[in-house]
Amino acid sequence: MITVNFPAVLHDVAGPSIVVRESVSTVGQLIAALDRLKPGLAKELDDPLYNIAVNDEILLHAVDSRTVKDGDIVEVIPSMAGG
Amino acid sequence: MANITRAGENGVLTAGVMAGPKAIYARGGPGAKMGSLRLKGIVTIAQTHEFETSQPYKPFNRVIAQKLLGTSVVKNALSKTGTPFLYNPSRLLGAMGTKNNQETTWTDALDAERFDPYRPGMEGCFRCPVNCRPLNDLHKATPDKYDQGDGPEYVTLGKFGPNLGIDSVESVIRLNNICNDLGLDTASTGSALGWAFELFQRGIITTADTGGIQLHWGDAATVAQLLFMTAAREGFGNVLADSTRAIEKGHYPAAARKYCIAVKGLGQSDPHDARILKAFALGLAVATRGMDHLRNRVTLEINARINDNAAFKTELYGGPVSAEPTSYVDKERAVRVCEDIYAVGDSVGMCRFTTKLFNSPSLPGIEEFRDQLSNVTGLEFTNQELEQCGLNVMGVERLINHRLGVRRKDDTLPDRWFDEPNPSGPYKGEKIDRQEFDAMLTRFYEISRLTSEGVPEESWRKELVGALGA
Repeated sequence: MITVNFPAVLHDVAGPSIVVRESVSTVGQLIAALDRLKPGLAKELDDPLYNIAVNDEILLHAVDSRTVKDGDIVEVIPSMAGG
Repeated sequence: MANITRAGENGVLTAGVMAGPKAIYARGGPGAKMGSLRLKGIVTIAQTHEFETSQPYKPFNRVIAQKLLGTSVVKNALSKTGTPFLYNPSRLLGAMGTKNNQETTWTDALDAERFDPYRPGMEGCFRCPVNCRPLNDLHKATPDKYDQGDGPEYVTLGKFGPNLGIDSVESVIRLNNICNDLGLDTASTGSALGWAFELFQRGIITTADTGGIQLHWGDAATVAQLLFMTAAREGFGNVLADSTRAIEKGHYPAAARKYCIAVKGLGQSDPHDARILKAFALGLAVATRGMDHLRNRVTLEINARINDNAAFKTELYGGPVSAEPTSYVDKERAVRVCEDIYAVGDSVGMCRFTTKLFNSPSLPGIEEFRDQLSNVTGLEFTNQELEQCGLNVMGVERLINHRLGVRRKDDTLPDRWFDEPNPSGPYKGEKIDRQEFDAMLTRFYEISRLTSEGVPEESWRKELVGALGA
């Protein structure tokens, strides 16, 4: 079970969080699982605005292959804004 | 109207020129410059009117507006919350300059959403459709003039939050409003304060130097007091008013230099600690006006979607750039491209926040500038010619700097980033390797047509003289 938290700007399409119970081992698989739960969500996340953090570790590259495990907390973080 | 404040009149080196409650021409001490000229303000009394153009330009203005308003970063971040969004990823990354960059992460109590209760709305600059400027209201029963205002931006949040060990949203907002009223550049003023606080922490200065004032991290009341003293050049405020020049003015001993977070005498503008992101580091080192991110920051380096798409990243920068943020490989190419686009954007009057590459790959860039220039003036430019204009801007600035004594040794970074490993976050241990940095700087000079001392090479100098009509 992996909990994915979303920023306010995505609450309309994803709500504040989604719990993924499907067995996944990478962020790429996690996003595919999210898309099965909320069709179209993967497309929303394929946006340069968003970064992903796993257990508060923000990922700057090689995201899809980053491993995740049961109990992880994943957060979608809007990153580009200035200033 | 553009005017200076009492800080400018008093020659405070971090004083700006104000054009609204928060709008400030801030960097490099322009307020002090106007003050030295005994020029208090400039008022233009006139009406705007239509002017003759080669082709109609308003339809394409609407195309540009639609393009930027449709960009995710504008729609979902800038228009709703403004720039403080960047605080959260910066602190998670361990790239948040904290306590004068002794530390690199800080509390979630200053995340952008913590400002929501104090943000009654958003405003914009003249005729800008984005409206990215957050207003603030501390909801005091009997508010004084510092309990309501405009801002803060991410820079101010960083400089008056983690940089000074302050963890209260209310304190950051109030200090922001005081700086606006006093006409102080929050970046350089925050840098001067952070430097002083670290010197006090280390015993390099004491209460004998500060007039009895204790400089303790997180003491927002003392920071507020020091801001008023700085604007008035009163007591220890006279030291802070000399900013990075405090050593040569005889206020601090030479040992203080090691802890000064500045390049070419200008305190760092953005609150990022760039030990991790090598492209950010190079940009801050080579920016012509000093340690300033607005000249060339490769912001998209912190975006994983772009880093992981090698073909797209190659297209953005006209050649490959390493996906790894800590790598030095080809980062000079990204800095070069950003510096060129931003200089052209400045020249046509496009805000940095809505210029391609600063916040998004989808914002208006060279192509849009080219087409609108053609509509307005009838002059036809190729993309390459416009990029050359951007390069020329940097070249002329470097010629001026060279005349003022700036050399390769000045295109560098604070010692701390070379000598002390990043103390926190997923990139703990990361720092700038001097040899790798020097090699990256050499490559930057080579692709920028600069000599080994960072000045335009002879053949280009002749072209610049021709371009300037001199």
